[in-house]
Amino acid sequence: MSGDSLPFARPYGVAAPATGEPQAQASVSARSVRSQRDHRVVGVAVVLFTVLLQTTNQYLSGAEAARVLGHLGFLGVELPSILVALSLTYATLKRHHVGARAAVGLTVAVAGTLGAGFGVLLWAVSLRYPTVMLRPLPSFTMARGMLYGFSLGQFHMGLWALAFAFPFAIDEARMKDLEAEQLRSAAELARLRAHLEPHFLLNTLNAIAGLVTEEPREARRLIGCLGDLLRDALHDDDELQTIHAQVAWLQRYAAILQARHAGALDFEWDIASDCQSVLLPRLLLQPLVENAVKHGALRRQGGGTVALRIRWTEEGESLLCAVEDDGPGVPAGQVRDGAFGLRAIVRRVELKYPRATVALEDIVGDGGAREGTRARVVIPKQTLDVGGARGT
Amino acid sequence: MIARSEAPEVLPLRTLVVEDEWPARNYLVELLEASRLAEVVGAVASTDQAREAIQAEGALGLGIDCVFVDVQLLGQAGSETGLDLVRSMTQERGTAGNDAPMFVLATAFDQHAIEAFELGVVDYLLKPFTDDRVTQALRRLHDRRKARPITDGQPRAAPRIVARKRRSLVFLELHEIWAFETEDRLTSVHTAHGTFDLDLSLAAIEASFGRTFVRVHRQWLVNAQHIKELERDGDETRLFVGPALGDDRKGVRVPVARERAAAVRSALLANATGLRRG
Repeated sequence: MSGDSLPFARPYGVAAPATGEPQAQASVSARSVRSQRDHRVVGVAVVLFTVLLQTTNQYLSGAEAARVLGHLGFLGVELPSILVALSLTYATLKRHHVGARAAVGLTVAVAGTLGAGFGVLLWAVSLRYPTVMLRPLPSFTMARGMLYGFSLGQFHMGLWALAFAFPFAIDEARMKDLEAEQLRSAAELARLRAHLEPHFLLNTLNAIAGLVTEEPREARRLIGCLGDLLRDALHDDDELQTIHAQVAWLQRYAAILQARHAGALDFEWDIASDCQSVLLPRLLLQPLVENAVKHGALRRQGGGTVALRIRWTEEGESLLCAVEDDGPGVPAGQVRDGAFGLRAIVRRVELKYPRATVALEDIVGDGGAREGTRARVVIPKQTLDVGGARGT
Repeated sequence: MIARSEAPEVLPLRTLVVEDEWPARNYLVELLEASRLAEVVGAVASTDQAREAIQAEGALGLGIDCVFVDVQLLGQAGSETGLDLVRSMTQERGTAGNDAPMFVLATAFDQHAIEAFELGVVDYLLKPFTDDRVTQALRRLHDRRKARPITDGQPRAAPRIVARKRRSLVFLELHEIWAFETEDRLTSVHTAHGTFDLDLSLAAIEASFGRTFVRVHRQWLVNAQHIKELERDGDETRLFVGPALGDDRKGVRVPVARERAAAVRSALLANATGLRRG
């Protein structure tokens, strides 16, 4: 992060986005739009080519011209309808995060039903114009028409999957990898910034310098805390950390903030004992605590409190992490300065735990009055690494 | 050090400290006072209080020479920073007259300074603070003030203390103060007008008014002029500080630390006659 890009009036500690990141994201989305268009063109070309092949094949095998044309006309209606229907189904399935097996089943059903419908239509038409029949069979019954349509629909679904869905799926997987990679490095940066965030570091050193003569014990304690934080920042280990270790880190972080804002800041730790060994991404909750301090508790007249609560939900199905403050909160429609920190958490959680949620909400008291802000992270248990032994 | 030998010859700068972090605020006050180039007329924690203090001092015709303000100050009202304070004050004063205080920015990074200079900040002080950095900044301020037209022919005002009473500020003359008390980092000042809160540590106050006040206990700093009674009960020594003897409603009882009792006693007796020694 180059110095001159740092907005001057930015309140301290608000993690600025790494300068490289937004552009990188923009280029990813531009690339994805372009490749989507390319894929569509290729898909249409493949379909046209297949239809052409099939028609040629029919023609060469000696079918009458009228029959070939009739068949071509039928394909001209049936094929685009099925392709559009499948694409719409696919888009809807993707929006609702339907799993792969269910998605295949549903597309098969859509293609089969639609194809069967067209088969019946073909049968009905053939009653009147016998020439469109594929073969002049007197036994071309409705059931046969339906079966024919169904199998043709399946065949066209295969064609659709090959021409449209497959390239997109490959591309999407690649993009997801790319984005995950970017976020991993952004998270890495954010972590380093959080630990060694220069403003945090320098202000803490300044506070220690101030305490040295009058409160030497307190000064030593802070040096100890700061040392622990720095040591942890140098750790180059894997991304996961037990809640126990994460909370221990946050408590040292909190101790420093508390000493610096003497009398204006309190912390509450409410961590269920059966959550301690659960593994979470390193320092996942730190930006939430930082935001709650800066934009919540410290803004409260006479000082405020930040509470971290971690427990299983009542049904025991999900882990609930809540960071609460009793500050004045944010007026509706206004984005907190720490929005980047929150966004980074949301993406980090989304990537790792597909069905987790992150939300910022008002805490409303009994009288309906606003009493603070709560950031909630809810992660389904089955996606979590619950961890065996309690570690550090 | 040159600054030390030169110091008594110059008139100390009347200085306001605006810093929201408790240790940093006290530290800066101690350093400013120790340089003897400045006298701290107030130390406040928010931009709102700073504005109020500057206006109040201005209204009394005393004026503030310079303001040390933290760039990352978190105003309780919202997201106003130290720079916003500078911007609004310099614009306001720029139209009213040439008596705007000189602003010095306390910051972790000097790259902030360029933008700050455009807003009217005259200097910056890097964190962590050291006495050299503070002394240098103050000497630059003194040079700057010499360059400005000299306005003060009138005698300097007596130093005062800025305290808080809930959300408003109170300005106290030194002679009105009986004692300062600190407990769990909450400092209060006992006066004839009542007890008020103060955003400074005893050490910082002692640095400012060490001659008038005596540290009799880790938690107590007492105005020697108002000590009315010294009572001893076995090992315990206590002082009564207030306007009149014995009236507990008008005054405070102050414990004297065991290790300081002898020194306090002899200091009091040194300036008094009448008691038979021994």
